[in-house]
Amino acid sequence: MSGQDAVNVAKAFNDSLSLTGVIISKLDGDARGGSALSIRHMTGVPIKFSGVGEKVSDLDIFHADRMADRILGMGDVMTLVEKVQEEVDEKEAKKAANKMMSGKFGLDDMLAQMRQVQKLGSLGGLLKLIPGMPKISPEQQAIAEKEMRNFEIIINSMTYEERHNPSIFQYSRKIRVANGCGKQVSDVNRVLKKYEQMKDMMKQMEQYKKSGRMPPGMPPGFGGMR
Amino acid sequence: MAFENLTEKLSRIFKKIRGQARLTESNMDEMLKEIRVALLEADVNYKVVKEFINNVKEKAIGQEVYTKLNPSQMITKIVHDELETLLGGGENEIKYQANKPTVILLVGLQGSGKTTTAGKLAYLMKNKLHKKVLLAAGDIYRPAAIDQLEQIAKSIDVPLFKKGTDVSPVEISKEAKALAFNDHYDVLIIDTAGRIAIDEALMEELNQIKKVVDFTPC
Repeated sequence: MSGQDAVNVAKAFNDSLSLTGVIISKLDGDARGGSALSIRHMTGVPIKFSGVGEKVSDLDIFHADRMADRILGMGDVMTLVEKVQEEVDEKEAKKAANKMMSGKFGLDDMLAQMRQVQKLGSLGGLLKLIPGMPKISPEQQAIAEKEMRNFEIIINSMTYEERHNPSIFQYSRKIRVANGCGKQVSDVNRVLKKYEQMKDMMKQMEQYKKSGRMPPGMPPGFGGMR
Repeated sequence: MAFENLTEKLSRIFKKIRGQARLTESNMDEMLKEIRVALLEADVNYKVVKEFINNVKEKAIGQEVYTKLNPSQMITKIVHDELETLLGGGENEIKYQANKPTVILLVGLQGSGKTTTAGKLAYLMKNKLHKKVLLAAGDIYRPAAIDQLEQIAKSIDVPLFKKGTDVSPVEISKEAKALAFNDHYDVLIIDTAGRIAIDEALMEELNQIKKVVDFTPC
């Protein structure tokens, strides 16, 4: 975060101690990041790690090629894949995928999937790793994250029966759920609509899978993310 | 995240040349000038920028970008490669010692995040690289620095070697190293007090620590 000064400090320390590696901490807080680009060249000391957040897990091994990709806005699929492998339970994911494909896809499955995505970190940070994804502003991100939370709240207020078979929802049930979680009936409707959309998409995916083609306009593997 | 502004500017620059059917020397120069400004605004050292631009130019001419069918892609690739070299290129991973603990000594200014990073490093090495990690609390100057590290160590379940604030950091490091060696730890991470590089007494202390832990480059 100290900009040019970081390079001078590293140089000074290197002169008296001859360092063997540099860790760039607080890289997330620095919108410019020029020191990261200069430090290797000016000191000759390789960058080993970079700190990208406050949590104890927010330290990455530094990969020059991936960072270059990211600087040029080309995304960073490698890091995304690693993240997914670390955080997502493979068995669980397979089970969910099977469930989706078989058409038995309930609201709590949708919730479980959303939680898996949330585990990967902030939405904005995630989108940055996917090449060609549109950038979203912090406001949009906040709205999306709030919506996710609302979904969770609303789905948690439903009965088991309702979650597994949302077609039983009539007006009275919606009112009950809305009152139960302190939301409006329109919010409940939105959740149900999203669920229907997702279900439709699953059906399409299944058909595409059968015919062996990819759905138009969707990067492979990202069906069902929205 | 870092590089936000830089990413934005670079993509704007590349978009501009993408619209042009062919790349001439003059609009190439203009583009390089814009890249230079973008890098300087991102706080990159001016010497580095100068060399970067020269390298890109040289490579671009050497590879006959002008005659290529798709010059903008070629340029993007050259810039990408140059950025990669600038950031270190190749493998930067730590080379772990085979039969003795690899010692990581964290040094830096006050408030640069050494203690936090010590915890993060221990977490990463323990959970992702499956190493046996020992943390050592060598910051005897800042109040509660040892407590802080202790809390972190407890939360990530990594053993901590501490001796209180009355023992010199050199002594602590020496004992920590001996313990790490005898108990077959893979990695020893020593947290030190923040210091500025012109404080000779404290820098000498670090050199002492380096000596007693038998530091091998990694």
